[in-house]
Amino acid sequence: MRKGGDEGESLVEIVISLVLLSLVVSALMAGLATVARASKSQRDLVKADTVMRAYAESVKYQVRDACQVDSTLTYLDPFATTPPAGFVVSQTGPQACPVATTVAVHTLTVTGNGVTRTMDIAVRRP
Amino acid sequence: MRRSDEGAALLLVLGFVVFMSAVTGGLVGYLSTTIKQRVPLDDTRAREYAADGAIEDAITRVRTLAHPAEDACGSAAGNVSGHYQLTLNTKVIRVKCENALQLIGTLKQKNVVFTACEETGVDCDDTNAIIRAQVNYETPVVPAGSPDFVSRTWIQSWSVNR
Repeated sequence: MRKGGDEGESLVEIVISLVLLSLVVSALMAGLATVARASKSQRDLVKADTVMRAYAESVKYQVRDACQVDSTLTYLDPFATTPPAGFVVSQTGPQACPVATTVAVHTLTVTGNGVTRTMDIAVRRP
Repeated sequence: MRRSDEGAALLLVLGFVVFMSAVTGGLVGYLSTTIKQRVPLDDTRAREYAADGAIEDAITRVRTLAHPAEDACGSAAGNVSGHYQLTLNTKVIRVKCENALQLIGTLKQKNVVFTACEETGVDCDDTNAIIRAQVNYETPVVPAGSPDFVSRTWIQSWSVNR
């Protein structure tokens, strides 16, 4: 004989358990989705940082390479080189070689995957 | 003998709560680390290239001295109390320079050592250096008493410390 008062409790318990479990799993899924988004954002940021550094070194190399003789020369636009897929690079600054006694400042911009970064660099004649 | 089930529910609930706390803690920790990493990454790059630019600037200034590596290194135009300063990427960078002239027979190796650090009011040294570079100023032979003409500068070493 069943103990009195227990009838029907199993169903209620199972339903409540399921509801609780659903809530917990939903919260967990939402958390995982946020982590995945944060991870992608971080990856994009690191990639943008790498592109920016490569871009900066490219400008410096162009100046070093092209401006050894005099300041009337211009150097090749290094930004004609193709950046990684999904990124756009641009710069503002003089394209003519800097004079021997001063540096030229370039502002570099890297945009890609929703990330935009700008940075100034100073270049000089060799 | 049959064991009583009393208290089992509490243990189960406690175990579940601990497990969920661990999972949530892990997620929150990962997220906060990710967010914290964003700032140092940008800041480090900005600081590094600011120091890079400041040394490039100091190299061009020393190039204007009549006798680089022999005249007082921090005395060229634009010096601030014997050192150089440049603001780039909102970072104020101080550059200390030291002559490192070397004589090889009668030939002079006109070397200068530059050290860049963030401007905090104190001189750059090993504890705060961002970049240290040794540069050689190439000068063709000129008549005695004439100022040097720097035809080229050679980077002999360039180390990024932090």
